[in-house]
Amino acid sequence: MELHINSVKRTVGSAPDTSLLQVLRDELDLTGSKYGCGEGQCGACTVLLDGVAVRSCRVPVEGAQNKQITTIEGLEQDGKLHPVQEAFLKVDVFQCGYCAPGMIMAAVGLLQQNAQPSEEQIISAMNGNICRCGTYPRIVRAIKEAAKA
Amino acid sequence: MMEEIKRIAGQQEQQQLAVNQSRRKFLKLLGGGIAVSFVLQDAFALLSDTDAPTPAQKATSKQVGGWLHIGEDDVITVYTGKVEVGQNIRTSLAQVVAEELRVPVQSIKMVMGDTDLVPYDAGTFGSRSTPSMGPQLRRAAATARAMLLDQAAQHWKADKNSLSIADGKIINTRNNESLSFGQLTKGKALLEAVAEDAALTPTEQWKIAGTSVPKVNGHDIITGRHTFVSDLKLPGMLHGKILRAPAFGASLTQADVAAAKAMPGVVVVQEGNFVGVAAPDRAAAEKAIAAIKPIWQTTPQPSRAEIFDYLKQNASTPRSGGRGSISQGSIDAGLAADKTLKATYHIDYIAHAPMEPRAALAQWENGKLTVWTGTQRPFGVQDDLARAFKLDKEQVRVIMPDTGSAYGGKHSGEAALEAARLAKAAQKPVKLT
Ligand code: FES
Ligand code: FES
Repeated sequence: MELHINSVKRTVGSAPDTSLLQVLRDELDLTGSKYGCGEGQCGACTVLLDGVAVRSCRVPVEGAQNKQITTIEGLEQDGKLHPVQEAFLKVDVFQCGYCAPGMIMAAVGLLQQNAQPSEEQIISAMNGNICRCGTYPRIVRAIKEAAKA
Repeated sequence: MMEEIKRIAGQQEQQQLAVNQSRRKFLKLLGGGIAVSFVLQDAFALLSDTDAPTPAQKATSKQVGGWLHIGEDDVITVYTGKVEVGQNIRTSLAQVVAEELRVPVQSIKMVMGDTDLVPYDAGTFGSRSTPSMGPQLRRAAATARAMLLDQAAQHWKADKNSLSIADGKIINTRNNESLSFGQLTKGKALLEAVAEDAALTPTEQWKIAGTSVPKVNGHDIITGRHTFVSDLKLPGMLHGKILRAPAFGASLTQADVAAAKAMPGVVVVQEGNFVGVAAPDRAAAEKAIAAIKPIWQTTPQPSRAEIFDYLKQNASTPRSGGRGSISQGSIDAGLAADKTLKATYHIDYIAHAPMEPRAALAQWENGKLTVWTGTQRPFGVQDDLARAFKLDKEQVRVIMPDTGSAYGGKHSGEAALEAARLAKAAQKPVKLT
């Protein structure tokens, strides 16, 4: 099976019904995307499929063929952080940081759909991403910051 | 009196001897420079020429442990048994040390929660890291600063008052010469215990400690580069899976593991209630576990709808071991207010639910067990593993990479024990996520 990940073509051998998250982490060593629940409940595994934020633990890898997959590893371009990463770094959002890759990917997905989201729109778009350390106010602040950039 | 003085002098002589004898080991272990430990006993443990493989294992278990080392390469390393689970002590403890040594936070390297490298620590809990470890490291760093100033004063044959310290350098204000910490300590092996009377920088003068600084490893976190236990991989590593009980308090009556055992590359461990498998990849491990047909004996448990009433009815009292409460002031007076509100709130009966599930990677090598696991008690888990596998503690190393939160829910080391069990049977490293 062929996948397009972070603008690179990769061939994978996992069974077609394996979750995309598992293929990324175990087969391709792209461990930035995290496993939190495996049930679509936490958002730690969020990646972009053709620019749309999805839960990679719930996407069978065959469903990701012929789509552009973007993971946290693909955000930096030529050693330059993505503006959303810049904003999250500047606001110093995280505590343990386990939710970070999923949060950032969800935020990138949101801003691609809606470059100037209102606070309500931010909250509703990010609602499915859990941060057990409770860094939510900073997450919202960082997304607003990124929208300004 | 005379006897006492003689005894102390004798002790000091012996200590001096031990330091001299151990210089070589010091250089080998820490590569020269300045080291400050919390208790002189620990310093000797660190330097002892006996067969102790590491400083940590010889350290006494009573005090809060920590080391500070300044190398010839200017690297300042702090060794502490405290661990990072999102409370940000990797940053805040580094701030305390940076303040006393007058260096940027980024120049402090924190080695945390590795039982082979750090002195004993009972665990990271009860919000004790900042109030107990912070002041210790502060004193250690202030002691190191005094040692550096001594060295510089000797070097220039100058008065200490004519020296200043900034940005990792000691400056001789008389001639404007400066030497970095590393240059000053080159070829030397200086060792001291924390001076109880170390001259601490008064809090009003703090420039780094007590201020808000960015998380030191923030960049790794936002790029997904930080390696959590679940991200680790070793050559030849297998993936583990455990047969989990379907209900609280269930016990395993029977489990037919023949089908799982017959699968290629699958190792099955079955010991009492414990059934686990290790397989070359996660999918194979999941398939193997699914092929086991267990029969569990369960006892009825309250349902989610019933749990609140159940807990209320079965609540423990201070006498039966529950937590007590204290009353202060007057409830009656409070309720006599103009307006009173009354409401009942129920929350779900949930545990800590850390974002990073419990995970462990275990490896056996020449009888020595190494386990990477997210635990708030690396030394406690080391104990548990040593006991379970009948090993000396020295044969067990627990390493705790900064972990995806714990909230008090990672005191124990079940995942470490499970992974180690599977790895022992498989004779290959096993990761359990
Ligand atoms: S791991 Fe995919 S949503 Fe939790
Ligand atoms: S920072 Fe710990 S879960 Fe979000």
